[in-house]
Parts: sequence; C-alpha cells; structure tokens
Amino acid sequence: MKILFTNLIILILFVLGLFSCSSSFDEDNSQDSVQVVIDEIQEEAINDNVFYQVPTPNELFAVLKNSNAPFNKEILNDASNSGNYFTKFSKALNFGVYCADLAYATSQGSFEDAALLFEAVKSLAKDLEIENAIDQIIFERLKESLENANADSLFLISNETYYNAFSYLQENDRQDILGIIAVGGWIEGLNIILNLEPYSENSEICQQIADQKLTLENLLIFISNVENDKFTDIVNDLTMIEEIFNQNDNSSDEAEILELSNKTNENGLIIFGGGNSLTLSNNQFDQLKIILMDLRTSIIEGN
Amino acid sequence: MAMPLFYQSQKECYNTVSFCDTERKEGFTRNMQSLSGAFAPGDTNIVQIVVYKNMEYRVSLCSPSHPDLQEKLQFKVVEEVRKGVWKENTIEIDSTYEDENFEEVTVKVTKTQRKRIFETIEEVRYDNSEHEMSQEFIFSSTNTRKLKIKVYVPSTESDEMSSGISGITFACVGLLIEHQPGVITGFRR
Repeated sequence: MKILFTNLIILILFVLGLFSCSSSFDEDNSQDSVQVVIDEIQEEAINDNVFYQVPTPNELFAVLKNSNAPFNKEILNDASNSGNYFTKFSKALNFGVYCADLAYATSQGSFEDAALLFEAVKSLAKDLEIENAIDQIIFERLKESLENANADSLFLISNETYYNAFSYLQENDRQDILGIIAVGGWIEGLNIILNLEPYSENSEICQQIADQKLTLENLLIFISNVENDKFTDIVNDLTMIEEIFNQNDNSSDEAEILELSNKTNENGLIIFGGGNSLTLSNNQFDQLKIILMDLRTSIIEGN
Repeated sequence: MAMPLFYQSQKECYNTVSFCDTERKEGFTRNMQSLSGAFAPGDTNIVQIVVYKNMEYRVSLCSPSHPDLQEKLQFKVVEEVRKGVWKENTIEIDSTYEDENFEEVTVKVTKTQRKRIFETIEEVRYDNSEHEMSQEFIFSSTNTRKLKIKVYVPSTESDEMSSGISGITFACVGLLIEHQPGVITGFRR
C-alpha cells in the first residue's frame, strides 16, 4: 500500500512535470507567432518616364459652373493692371492669372468682365509673343459671342485661348513660360474658389478646394524643370501650400480606403468609384486663404 | 546622336491631337492634358492626369501619320492605390530561460515577425484590349483622382513605318483628352 501510494505520487509528479514542460513550450511557441509593426513604404514622387499633366482653370470652373455661389467680380485681377507688368516673368504669371479670371467670368456669363479680360489676355499674349493665342478668328468669334450674349460660346473661346497658348509654347519649346503661366493660373483659380463662400465642410466648393491637392502635386512636378531665380520663391510658397493640404492626409489609414470599383450607369457610361475622398478642415481652409491671398497679391502687384 | 534625332521626331509630331476626331458635337471640350508624341514600335508612354469629380472624360488615340495603326493602339487606364499587406519574415533572437539547475541559459530562437506595410500598387481601371481594341473610352468619376494612361504602340508587320526627316522609325500618336460636365444626380438646394 505504501509502495502503491509512493508510486502514485511519483506518477502524479511525473505527469505534472510533463505539463509544466509543455506549458513553457507553448509559451515559447506563442511568443513565436506575431510581432506586429506598422510601417509605411514611401512611394517615389517622380518617375522620369511619366508625363505629369495639369488640369486648367477652365476645367475647374466647368465643374463649378452650376454651383450656386454668386459671381464675385471683386475677386478678379483688374484688367487695367495688365499694363503694370514689365518683366517676362511677371507677364507670364499674370497671363495665367487673367486666363483663370477669364475662365471664371465666362463660366458665370459675365460679358462685361469677359470683354475686358480678353483685352488683358491679348495684350500680355502679344508681350509674351504668343499672339496666336488670340488670333483674328478667335477675336471675331469673341465679338460675335459678346454681341449675342452667348455665354457657352464665350466659355469655349476662353478654353481655346488657353489651349492655343499652351500648344504654341509647347511647340516652340518654351516650357519655362508654360510652367510659369500654369502656376499663375492655378494660384488664381484656387484663390477664386477660396473666396466664393465661407467654409462649409461638405459643400461642393470645399470638396473642389480639397481636390486641388492632387492638381498641385502634378503641378509641382510639371514645373520642376523651370529654371528661373524668381520662380524659387513661388515654388517655396507652393510647397508650403502642399504642406497645408497634407495636414489632413488620411491616405495611410487603411480602414478608410474604399475599394475601387467600376460601375456602368443606365446610359452605358463607366463610372470610376471607390478610393478616398479628400477632405478639408476649417483650419486648413483659413490657412490656405491667408497664404493664397499674400501670394496672389504679390503676383498681381508685379513683385 | 539619339537625343537630337528624338527631339526632331517629337517636333514633327507636334499637335497630332488636333487631327484626332473629337466629340465636340456631343458637348466635349478639348482638355489641356492631351498630349502628342513620337512613338517607336513597341514603345510605351505614360501620362498621369487629374480627373475631376462629376466631370465626364473622353480619352481617344489617333495616329494620322499611320492609319494602319488605328484599331491597334493599346491603352490602359490605371490608378495607383495604397494597400496594406502583411509581410512575414523570420528573425533570430536570443531567448533566456532557467534550466533545471536554475541557471540562465541563452539560446537562439526563431521567431516570425509580421509587418504591416502599405504598398503602392496599380489597379487597371480600363484596358482597351479587353474591349475590342476600342480607340476611345468615355468615363466619369465619383471622386477627383489621379489616373495614369499607358499608351502602347505595337510593332507593325509592314516595313512602311515612316522614317520622317529624322531617319528614325516612329509614328506620331495623339492622346486626346476631352471633358464635359457630367450630370450631377441627387437633390440640390
């Protein structure tokens, strides 16, 4: 009996010993499994084999054409200022500014302002030697559209004006002037939409402002080869604007990335869906408004 | 020598897009993001554009200098997305434990480390080779987004590819992008 009891104790201890070994083994194994680290890979910003294109102010205002914001002519650069620009740099910047103003004015059917702005654009086009931007044919069509109060035609003509100028500069390898015009146009376009209405989180205009982040990213690459000392300050300002846009960047938050999807509507049109919608906070809106105002003022004052 | 020759062929292809058929009568307007260029056989070029929410876009290709390439030009519309993936790798670390003699023993232990990495991948939104090599594509988008259009010019069977002034074999290709405001659905104030 005593021997049996002793053997039982030994057996129990032996079994307990086995369990303790396996427990520590399991514990080691559980430490084997997961050590999670969240990491992010930085994507390359520029690919030399890719052409980075930029939408124009005309395209921006085509989207906003039917928005309910009232036309505000106070936002425009006074057409009479076109005589105050004496350097090629200043002329090119303000050519872009006036093209954006023209796109805005024509999108809103403001004929009187459009007529004055066309004159400003024509004058600067001549100074920049891109006269074919508004050749005689365009001018005749412009006169006809103004006489007939044809807002749609005016808007198309403003688009063609910009398109012709762009094409001419590309053909003649004047990429520097092209880049400067693109910057002037983008700055003015953004300044206009920032001043259309007060901040409203879910409004169409607020969404368009937030979306300008994508245009700016392409614009910065588009102008990366422009060599001009005066341009450096503007590029620095554009970089600061980019930083403001990036303050609310939630692109790395996977939980909010919507799966991409293609749908076809009843007319057979394919609609790209999914992906993140950019957002803009009140704070970002205010910061952008201040920096754009300062930047734009220095441009239209010819500094 | 290649650079000046390439430069010359690009100059010859200036504004090819202006010869592409437009859909102006359907309300489309030429978009400044269009591009023209010289393509050697087998070339691929990539253009990154920005498309605005609720705008309709028409993308089309043409090669007026080489009508035989019509219906053969290939293009894809791709979008880069950042996706989180789990990556595993095995590492060795020192693990210390007490043996039966209560002495510290250090051994090398293999562990699996899982990292959450955000990769940029390309998703193909449209491939014209899956749509009977259509040379045009019309679409809209629910969000403003960046898209890459990859244009590929296949090698031709004939030897008639133009050599042009520069002497290199190339074709002028126009990537015409047009836009028009889309229909905005839903109630509006």
